[in-house]
Amino acid sequence: MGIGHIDHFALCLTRKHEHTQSTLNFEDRITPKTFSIEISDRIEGLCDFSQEAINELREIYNEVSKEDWDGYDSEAINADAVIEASKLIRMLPSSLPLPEITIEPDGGIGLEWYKTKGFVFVASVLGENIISYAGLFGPSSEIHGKENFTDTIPTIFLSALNKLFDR
Amino acid sequence: MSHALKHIDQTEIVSRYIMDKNCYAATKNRVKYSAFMPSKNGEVSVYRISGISEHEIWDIGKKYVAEKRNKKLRARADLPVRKISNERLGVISEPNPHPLHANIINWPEDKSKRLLIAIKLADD
Repeated sequence: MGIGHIDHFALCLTRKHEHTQSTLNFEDRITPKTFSIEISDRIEGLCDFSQEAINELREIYNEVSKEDWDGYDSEAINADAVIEASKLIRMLPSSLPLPEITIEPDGGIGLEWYKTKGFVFVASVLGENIISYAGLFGPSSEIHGKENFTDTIPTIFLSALNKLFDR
Repeated sequence: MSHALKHIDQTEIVSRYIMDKNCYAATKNRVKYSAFMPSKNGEVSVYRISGISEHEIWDIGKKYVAEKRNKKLRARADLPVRKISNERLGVISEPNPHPLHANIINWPEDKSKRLLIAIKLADD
């Protein structure tokens, strides 16, 4: 899928230059510093995954720390979900690519591994000690389910990610 | 509203207007599954765009979606109704605030099922 109307599906950006502009606009937003300090301290106290991941989560948390961030009455991002997402990232084997971080309308955080069309895996946390997951591995293979959040990454995740990346 | 407008045909296309950059990956030029996850009310708001011009499509998004929420319209994702029906979801006309407004309904309670469906809708 690309910019414009292509067959069955199209992701249409309003204008190409608006994308660049909008990215910069987000950096101009006033962020609740007390929240960002609190969150980063809690994250850093729990784990030591890459600063890049900490910064991305902190940035996203600051951007969507209020309700209705998507314009469709979404929940504010859940601080406990940020902690869980951070812990989950730290548990990942370094041999796997880092996921894209996606915010969900219920305030949850999704870790998304998108390989190509039809090949994607998502693990989602909401700060409730449960990981919901779903994945597509081509036209005839899919999974979904839930796992309790523990101190180790669920085996099914590793299997799914290894399958996704042909490892 | 006429019966013809109330009935949503499987051949129609609906559009999801996107107002937040978290709902698409511009670098990869793709919509993310989160754009199709249902709101608190358990529905996904869309607009029927079959048979209207590109200008009209964007105009509806700006006037009836983004401006009403004091948001900036960033993108839109178009999807065939048939694709939605294949996931055992329904698309019903809800002609407020605009005659072409509709909702995607019948989402499962289980979040992992909702994730899988949203991934499929975004992956088309």
